[in-house]
Amino acid sequence: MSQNFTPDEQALVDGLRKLPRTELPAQSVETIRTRVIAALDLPPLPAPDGSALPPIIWISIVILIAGSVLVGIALLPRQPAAAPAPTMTMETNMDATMDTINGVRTATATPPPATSTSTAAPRRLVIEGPVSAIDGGRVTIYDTTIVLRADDPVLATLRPGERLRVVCVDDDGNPAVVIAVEFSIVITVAAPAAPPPPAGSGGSSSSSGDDDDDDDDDDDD
Amino acid sequence: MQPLDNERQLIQQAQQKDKEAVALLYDGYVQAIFRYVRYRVESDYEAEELTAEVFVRMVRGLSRYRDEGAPFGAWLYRIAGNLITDHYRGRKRKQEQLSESQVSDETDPFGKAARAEEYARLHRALKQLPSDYQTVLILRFIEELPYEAVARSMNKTEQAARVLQHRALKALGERLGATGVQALLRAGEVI
Repeated sequence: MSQNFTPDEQALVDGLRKLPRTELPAQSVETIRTRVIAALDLPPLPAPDGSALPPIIWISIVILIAGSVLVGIALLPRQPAAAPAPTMTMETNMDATMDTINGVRTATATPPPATSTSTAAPRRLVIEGPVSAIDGGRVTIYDTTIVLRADDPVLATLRPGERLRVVCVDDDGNPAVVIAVEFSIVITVAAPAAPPPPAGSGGSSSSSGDDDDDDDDDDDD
Repeated sequence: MQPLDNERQLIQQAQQKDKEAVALLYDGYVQAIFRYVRYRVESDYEAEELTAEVFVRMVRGLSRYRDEGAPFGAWLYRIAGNLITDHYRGRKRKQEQLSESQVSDETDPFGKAARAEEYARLHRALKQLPSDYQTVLILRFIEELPYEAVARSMNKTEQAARVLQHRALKALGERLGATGVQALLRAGEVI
């Protein structure tokens, strides 16, 4: 036990070696011996602690389970409520090819690019109804405002009272916020109640309406 | 702590529930285990109870004991160390169970035996150290065990036991303070 201790360490070692050594009294030795011999009749102790899983294994298991749960949560589809509300901007390059088929003119438009940051699967909605107001590039149907590009050709032909059918997606559960994927104007031409006007006069409503629209466009510009 | 004569044979006989062999093993180690426990706990009563429990566990665990070259005493020290750890975990509860008479009958063995306040202070400082530090210092310098036996008793390598001893001495010196160590030096010169 030859070791090089500093003087302070040596003082501590010497002090420890000189600490009084208590002995177990003889009577206690006998008492304990009796208990020990009696313990021979007791069943062996259960498996030692060493046979159990060490704490590091338990910690690893807990971490693995927690990690799996977190990964599972991360991989779950996001709830619609958690998705940011997209702004609906209906931009269309409408060719305004209108046909009159059985009294119904249908205008088809190229589906506008939807601007949305949502990754949730959107709900498909169809809004169809009379246009209650046209304000520049905004068209209102049943209090739902659909924003069109101000110079969209469809605005030149669309008038209040005409029916617009919009197929759109609703990606956050709010019916007021929709993204149109296609739309068409459904114009029901009322059956003529009076004889048609003389040739050459043209559709008065149509021409006057066009004028009105042009005025509107000028205002917007 | 030297191995007992015919220790292996005694262990084998004790594993066969031979009372005489168990008694010889007990007699051979009881004082060393008691001293070790006594330095770690507050009273003779606690030390006796824990010592008894060490040997009861020895008997009940003998069937699982495997001689791997380590002294049998190292296994007993390990049992004692675990028991002391458990003892301090439930110390409050245990103290409540002790009767007033048992507590008041306790005496400070160092006050009577050594009559040296410095050694009593050293012992108090020792008991304030972490469990591993206490064990290595008691086994190395009070029980005079070699590093190998200390390491086996603590389930560590010899190198780890050496490092632990160094840290334990440093911690003990810090606990006592410079004046305490100097007082110990003077006490050593006197005694």
